[in-house]
Amino acid sequence: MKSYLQNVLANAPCDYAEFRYQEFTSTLLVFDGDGLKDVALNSARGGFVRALVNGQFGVASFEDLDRAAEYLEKAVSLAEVKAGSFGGFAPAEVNVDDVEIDVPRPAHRVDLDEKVAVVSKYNDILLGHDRIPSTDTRYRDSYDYRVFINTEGTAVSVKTPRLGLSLRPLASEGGVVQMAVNNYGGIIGFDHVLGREAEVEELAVRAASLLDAEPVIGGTYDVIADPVLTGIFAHEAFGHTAEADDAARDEKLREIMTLGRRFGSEVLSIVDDATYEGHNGYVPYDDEGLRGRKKHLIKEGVLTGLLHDRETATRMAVEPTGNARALDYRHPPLVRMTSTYIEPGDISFDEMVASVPRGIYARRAKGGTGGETFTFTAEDGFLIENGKLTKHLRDLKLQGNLFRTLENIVAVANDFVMPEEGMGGCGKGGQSPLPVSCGGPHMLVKNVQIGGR
Amino acid sequence: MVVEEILERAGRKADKAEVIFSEYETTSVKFKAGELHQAAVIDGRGAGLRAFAGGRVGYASTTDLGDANDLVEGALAAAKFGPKAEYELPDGTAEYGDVKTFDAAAAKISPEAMVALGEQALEMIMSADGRYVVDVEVDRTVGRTRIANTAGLDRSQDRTGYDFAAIVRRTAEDDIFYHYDYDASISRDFDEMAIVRRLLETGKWADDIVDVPTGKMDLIFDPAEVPTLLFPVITCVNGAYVVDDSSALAGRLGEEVADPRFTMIDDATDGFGFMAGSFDGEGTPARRMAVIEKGVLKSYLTDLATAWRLGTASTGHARRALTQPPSPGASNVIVEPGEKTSAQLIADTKKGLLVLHAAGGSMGNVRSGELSAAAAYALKIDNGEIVGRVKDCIFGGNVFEMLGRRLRAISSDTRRSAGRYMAPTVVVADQTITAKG
Repeated sequence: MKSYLQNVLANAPCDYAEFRYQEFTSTLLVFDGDGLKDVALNSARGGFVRALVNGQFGVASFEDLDRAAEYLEKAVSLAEVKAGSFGGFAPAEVNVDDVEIDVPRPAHRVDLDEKVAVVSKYNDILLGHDRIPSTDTRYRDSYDYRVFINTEGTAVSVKTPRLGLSLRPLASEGGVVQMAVNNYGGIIGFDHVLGREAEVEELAVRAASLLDAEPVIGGTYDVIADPVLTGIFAHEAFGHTAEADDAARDEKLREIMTLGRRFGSEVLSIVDDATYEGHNGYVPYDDEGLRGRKKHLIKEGVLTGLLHDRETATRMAVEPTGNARALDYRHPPLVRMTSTYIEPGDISFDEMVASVPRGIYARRAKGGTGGETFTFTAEDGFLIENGKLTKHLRDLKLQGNLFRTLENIVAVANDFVMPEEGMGGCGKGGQSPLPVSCGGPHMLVKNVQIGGR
Repeated sequence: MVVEEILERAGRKADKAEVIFSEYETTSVKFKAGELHQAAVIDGRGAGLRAFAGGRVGYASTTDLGDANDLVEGALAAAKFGPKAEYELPDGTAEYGDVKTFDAAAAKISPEAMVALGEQALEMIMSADGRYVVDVEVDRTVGRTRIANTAGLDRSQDRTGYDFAAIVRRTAEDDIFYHYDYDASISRDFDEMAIVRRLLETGKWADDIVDVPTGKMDLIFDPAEVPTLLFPVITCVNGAYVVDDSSALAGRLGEEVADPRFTMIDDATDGFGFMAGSFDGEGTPARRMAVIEKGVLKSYLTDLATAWRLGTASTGHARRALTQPPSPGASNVIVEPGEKTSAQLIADTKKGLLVLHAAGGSMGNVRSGELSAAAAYALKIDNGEIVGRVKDCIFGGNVFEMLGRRLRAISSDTRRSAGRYMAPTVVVADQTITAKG
């Protein structure tokens, strides 16, 4: 495939061009309260070409690989619709490599009957609980083969086996429905999901216990976020703001996101790390053929970097960071995160709880949206009174302003966790779910708004 | 050609089979920060096969059209472990209405014309307020879907889609104001510059940031945000969640679930929305159907599998994505209007919040009807007057309560949003707002 596409590119009538080729296969299992609902086996393959002509990008996505040359012409003619102002990428590394990410017993090689048996057993354990009439259990494994070549000589390929399992029991009583979630998976072998019976039992009990928890009373609280919520904050609230595609073209935003500016206290360091193995954010080469790497976005409270693709790096005259990612061959690359996390601190979780006179300990996440004003839904929480966890709480919606919240992170614990990803992913520009990871330690944030009834 | 081959091969090995084939071409132009950034074309196609064997069903899909054998073997392998499925597929003899899904003019809009439209929008926004950083996106899609099965059904539908979005951002120290407006349709039946004018009009309050206290007030949903309020309702009437009893509306047909002034209709036969079509994703004829009529729950949304599990007939609400088997979903959704205009309803509001954009509304316990969202762009109303923009506040509650005993009013004027909703302004009384401080 590399040499075929290289031949097509050889006489490309443009200033720069690149091809991506992708083959993708996946197995999807969906269960509900009556058992297995869907079994789907999918395969897709196709190509994507991007051409730069007179400062303008034209792109084309296609499935008929024999017509790659025709689509290159199409991309060129789209770029020629109007001249643009982009002067071309700054020179970057040229990579020639083939990476096959190796995991023991990859899920795409496991028989379908074994997958169905394992996930069915977990779904049955959940439904065995008398307060759990229904579930929303989803399993997907995939094998993703990507090739990238460009007119600068880069030619890389990456093969990635992924696995995701989300177990969601829906506990219900008297018109109240509550959901708990256990996620498993990442870039990891199938055996990773075996032997989880005890955890699934515990998950069922946890979901049912939410029915007995008290709805939280809305207001402003000091909040201890668990590693899942810390990760969601790092990703949704800060991470998206650190993606340079807006800042590169917006002077005012660039003023706010000026390197060297203090955003938080010295306890706060945020990293995006494409080299973090085993999780979905592991990206050996991005979709512009650049090496994935680890970079600090905030170090000890000070902004030290943004996330770039080659275009934003060129516009801002900095080194690219290898963060150009495309959902699949139907989409152009955008500036995206990989594994984003807050680095651990010194104090223990117990010391952190003991330091809070009145607050809330919020656990796990059901979802989140980012930006300057962010909103996350936690699975549950506990009231903290005089340094002790007391009442079990539910229906926690956390909201805050990014900049004030960064300033209000006052302590970070020493218990770093990179949670497993399950079936989720990140959405941006119509491309969702992109495999990413996010995590961190417990952290204490002052003055968080919590919505209630 | 490919459809016949897949169906023929599958029919030999399976008890029955259904093939969906779709192909489309999308052309889009994107402007970023006031400049054309990219013009794109996406040529997509693919086939999906449901194979029924031994009373069970399996699904497989592919984009590789040389691959009929793998597709058939995949669907049969999936059927070995798949769910029970003892329902009949439509034989195509039902009556199908004539629903407009294709517009020849929309199919011909050129990239050059789309670029010119984008430039016109940029010019208009920049000259109105030079502080805005502006993105514009214009897309058009031409496609065709064909569904055929071993019971005799074979139907095709040509389709066009056109959409226009304008997004603005204005950054000041410690405040990033983000605002957008858009529309989508089967044809170019809207005025792009009217969208831009509305964006500028609704954006003009953004400079005056005001506080609201935590507490109760009226919540006014702009028509474009009524879908946020409807999301838990549409989820709860989804047959897939009724059948396993996880919906708050399971077992409640014929009961009053909302105020008698509230009527919600699902209508794939109405060409106002891009979900229009004469048949659904399984070939069942589309219809106009009251879901909630004068507050009373009239019908769930079902496809063949959920209807079979519920012991009813499909309502024609099978939705398809190529990588999954069909599942029930809404088509074009209409909320019937009320008596007073939106302007009168705002003027009648003593203390309220007009929600222009909400975020995160789908994250709560949706199947119990819970809505919990952040007011991403909301305006404070004092004694009938808009006084300014409110930042950082959350609202939430149960939508059946909000559309039930706390429904204050529904406006007489309606507007299309997201290309598939036709909704009035909806006012909910005594809503708890959690604000900063």
